[in-house]
Amino acid sequence: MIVMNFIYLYLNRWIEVWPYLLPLSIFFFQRHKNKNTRLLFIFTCIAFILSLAGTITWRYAYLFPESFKNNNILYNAGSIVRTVFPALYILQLPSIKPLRYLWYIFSGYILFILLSFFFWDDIFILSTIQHSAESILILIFTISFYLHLIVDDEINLKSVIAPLVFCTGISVYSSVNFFIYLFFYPVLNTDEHFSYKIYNASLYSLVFYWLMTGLAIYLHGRQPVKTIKPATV
Amino acid sequence: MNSDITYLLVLGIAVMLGLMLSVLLAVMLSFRKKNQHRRAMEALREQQQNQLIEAAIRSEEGERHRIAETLHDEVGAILSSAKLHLLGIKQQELDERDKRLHEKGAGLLNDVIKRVRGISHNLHSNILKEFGFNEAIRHFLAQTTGASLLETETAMDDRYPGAGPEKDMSLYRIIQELVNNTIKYAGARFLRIHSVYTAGELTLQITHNGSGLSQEEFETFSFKKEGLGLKNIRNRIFLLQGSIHFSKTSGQSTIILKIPVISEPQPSTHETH
Repeated sequence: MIVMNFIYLYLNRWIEVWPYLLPLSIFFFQRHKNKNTRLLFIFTCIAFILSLAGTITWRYAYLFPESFKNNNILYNAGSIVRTVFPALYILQLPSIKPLRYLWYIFSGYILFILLSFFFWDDIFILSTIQHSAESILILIFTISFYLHLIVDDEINLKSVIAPLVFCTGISVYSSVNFFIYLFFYPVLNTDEHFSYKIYNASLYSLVFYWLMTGLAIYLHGRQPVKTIKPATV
Repeated sequence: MNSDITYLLVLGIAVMLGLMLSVLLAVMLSFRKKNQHRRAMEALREQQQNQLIEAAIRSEEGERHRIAETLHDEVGAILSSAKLHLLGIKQQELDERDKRLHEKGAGLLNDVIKRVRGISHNLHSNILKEFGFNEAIRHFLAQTTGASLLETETAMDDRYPGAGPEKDMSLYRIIQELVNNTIKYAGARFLRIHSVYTAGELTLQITHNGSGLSQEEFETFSFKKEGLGLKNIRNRIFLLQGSIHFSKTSGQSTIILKIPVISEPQPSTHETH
């Protein structure tokens, strides 16, 4: 019982770190690596490093000098990475290439974030604008992807199963986190206890996010099945 | 104020999640619908392909039948008449040289009549219709390899009830093609056809000691333009919903045919023998 509690405690304390190990380990054990798995791997690596650095800074803040104790810049960078890489991943999917407007939205997001951090936001404070923009952009991209799947009759499930799994993970995460970050400071200021609870919900959705990313990496590495047809008359 | 934000937050998350799950559900339902449609289209395409193959095979059989009839009824009749005329020549009036020529001519004519009859029977097997598949195979093998150096053996399962005239004809043609190929290309000295009928499935095994095909070679040749015989085998197997497997080891080649049989008794039985 004590051991179980101990494991649970540590899993909870490092919940922002260990979920990344799922997709990373799947990538390392995978035989067939392709363009998609590599992009997801680079994304996972960068996000993992930022998240690990953020958690270490938080857990062992007493070891760092005063100017390095603030980990909000790492969280903001993590959020930008979680927006840019999935967006690029969706944009390079062969089935999504005709949707040119997504490129304009993506460019608009980059411009908006640059302007935001220049004029309104402080990079050293957890940016609810960036986190909410992350959710909105991911939701626009994933919904466009889903609608494209519904409309296009030529697409079959087997060919898009990996992107579908990945988009499920990021869209569920974004759905949960949009309102959490939109009301992050008002909730924190009025009901601190509830804000911790809701932040835990956000962390559980993060576990789901990386679980689905791992599954997507695994599915991308699978080879298509060969079929034999009868001879033509 | 406090509970308002909490309420708004929980409601917002629930609505967003609900919307997202609805979209996901819509995607899954659309894929299910598209899958059903695709399957229906594939079934239709397969049906069309089956009809095409069936039509091709039927027209081939019709043509064989027509050629066999022409050979038997017209060419055969003319040859028989020629033989009668030849036999009508009074040999006593011929000198030794003419007698020899007459005998040689009569012998050659007999040979031609036999061969024409053989070709006619091969093209349209009456034995298959009258005595069934097993007897037709025994007869075909005896006729085809009788005069050659190839030693043959048959062990046909008499429990096989027949799969219907058309299916049996297809199966007969497959065996015919395989045996002819073995004679032509494999250089075999011994050939054995063995059949087993169990639980609605006929398994036919052709074994010979020549240099046969491997499964990969069969797959390759049956898609080549010049491999018409193998292509026909492949199409007939596809139509019979069966399978064919080629294998070879040093000194022995084996072909295994598996055909599902929905019992459809043949029009004539062994009793009429």
